[in-house]
Amino acid sequence: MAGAVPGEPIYLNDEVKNMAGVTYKCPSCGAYLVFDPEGQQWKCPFCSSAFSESDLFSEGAETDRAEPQATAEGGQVVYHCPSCGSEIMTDETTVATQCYYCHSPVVLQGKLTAGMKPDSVLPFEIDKEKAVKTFMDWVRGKRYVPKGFFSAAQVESMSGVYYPHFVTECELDACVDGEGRNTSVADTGRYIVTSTMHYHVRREGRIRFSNIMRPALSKTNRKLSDGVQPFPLEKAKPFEGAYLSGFLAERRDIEAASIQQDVERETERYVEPLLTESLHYNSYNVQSDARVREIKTRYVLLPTWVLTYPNKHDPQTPYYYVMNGCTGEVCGKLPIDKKKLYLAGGIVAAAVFAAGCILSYFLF
Amino acid sequence: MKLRKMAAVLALALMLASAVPALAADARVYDWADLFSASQEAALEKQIETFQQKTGMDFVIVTSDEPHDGDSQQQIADALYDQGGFGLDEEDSGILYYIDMYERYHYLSTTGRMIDYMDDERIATAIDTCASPLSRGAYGQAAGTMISLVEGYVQRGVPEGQYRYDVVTGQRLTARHNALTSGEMLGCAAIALVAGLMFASSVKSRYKLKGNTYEYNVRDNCEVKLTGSADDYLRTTVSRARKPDPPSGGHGGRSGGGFRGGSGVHTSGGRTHGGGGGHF
Repeated sequence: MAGAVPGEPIYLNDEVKNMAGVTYKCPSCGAYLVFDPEGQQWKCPFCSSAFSESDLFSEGAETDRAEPQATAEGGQVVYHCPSCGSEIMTDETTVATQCYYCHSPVVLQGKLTAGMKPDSVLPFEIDKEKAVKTFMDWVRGKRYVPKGFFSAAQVESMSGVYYPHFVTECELDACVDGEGRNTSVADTGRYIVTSTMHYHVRREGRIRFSNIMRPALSKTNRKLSDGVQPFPLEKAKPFEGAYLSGFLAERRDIEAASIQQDVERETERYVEPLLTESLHYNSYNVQSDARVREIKTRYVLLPTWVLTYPNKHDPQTPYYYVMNGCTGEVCGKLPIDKKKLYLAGGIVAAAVFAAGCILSYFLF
Repeated sequence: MKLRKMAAVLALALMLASAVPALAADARVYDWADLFSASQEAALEKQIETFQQKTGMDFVIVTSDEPHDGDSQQQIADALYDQGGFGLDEEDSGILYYIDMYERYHYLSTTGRMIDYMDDERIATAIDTCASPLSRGAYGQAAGTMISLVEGYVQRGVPEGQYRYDVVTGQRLTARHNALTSGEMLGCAAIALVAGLMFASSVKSRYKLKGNTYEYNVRDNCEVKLTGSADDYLRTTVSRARKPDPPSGGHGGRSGGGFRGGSGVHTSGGRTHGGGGGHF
């Protein structure tokens, strides 16, 4: 904040005052509720009560509110936990977190107002237990990862995070225009006669692209987020903060307009292959042209399990992994047991050498 | 017949040699045409001794200036080797270099394993190489060169693809000899090294963080509605190219007689010999 003195609390402005944190309370025992990916409902970890979407939203879930206290240096916001009163410090883009002391989930609803509220949310389908198992299975399937490098106990520190994305639909009026050629060859005995018929070809059409994805958070590692796509967007629900309960969530920090040019460029790449599908010529040369007719961007929160794993050999460069919270697709750099890899490379080389020698012995 | 006379003389000489050890029962140079000086003869004997130690096979040199009454150099050379009791192993493997000054013809007769080492091509090369010093009168040099050439061939091993065939019927008698040359092994090693490195680098790249792997699925997420379509004929162009003439001559089939790599063999006195020769 402008004029802030580092280390000193800053009084809240109106925007920050509206950023209340919310904990959804169990109607049965008053403890907090968390979203259960496996049952696609809300569960109370204390009394084991379960509530469906209709139960929770029709009755109007009771909530505890955590009012923001101040913003610290770097735009961080301090809350008091609605359950235990401890301080919770979050950064500017965090919209769901948990109390570091009592682990109560807190949804910072206030940060999702004034154009920041997502249009939809794709709820987690993989819970933590399954995520850990999926990750460990993925790692075990990798033969050249050092044995015992990953321990289930450490993998359990993975967090479920909703990351903001833009999902764009784009409609184009497009055309391709050029020349098509059909060639026939005849053998007349002494001569080869090649006849080519030339045509002026043109195709015009309206092309509608759906579900073009772009991250909506500037700090997103694009390689990691792209590596776990696609998400089953057809399962996305209209946004309700309660879906974030029990998970971490980030809000967008970039505007939809800033990704539209990139989306338009991507769609234009597909125009020629799509419109020339109906050309039945031996060869053709065409030029394409496209005009964006309509572009709509939805702001969606997508579920991912995120793991930062310590690198024993180089503590400064930990390994980062992301798992699709619905499909279980994992992405991230893996450590390599070089001895094992080079031994396998040697075996491959020896096998190729032996096969080559046998072949040359008998064939050449 | 002259052939029988010569063989008998050789047998007698060998008998005498075995009776007097100093004459060396293992003499291998029989210079009946007096082509070599004493020192040359001694040098050739020494060279043959080394040849025997290195190859485990025999080498005999016979020179003659007598007419041979219709017997071919092949018959004479084969008979001399067989009746002389040459050879160091069970197959009596070895080679006899026969220099016939009467017809100015020199001939190599191979026996046992030597048939495989000295295929037709090698024999022809050796005969051609030694024809030049022989025609100049450098007989000692020619015989020495022949020993060196044969020794070199034996050290290089049986030629790849070598086989024995009957010179009369042309029938193949043995399968082609398979061998792995050092060049082939080197090639295999290079390919194996590349394969091993490619394997290691492919694993490394798979374990690295994937690049931008997001590929928009156009088929599933795209609808195309064609609103206009035109295919208007413009023109036809015709080009004509003359067909290439068929290859002339009509020499189909294999060149070189199809005996490359072969060791032509014949039977002489119940024993199989290979060989070949030429004029000088």
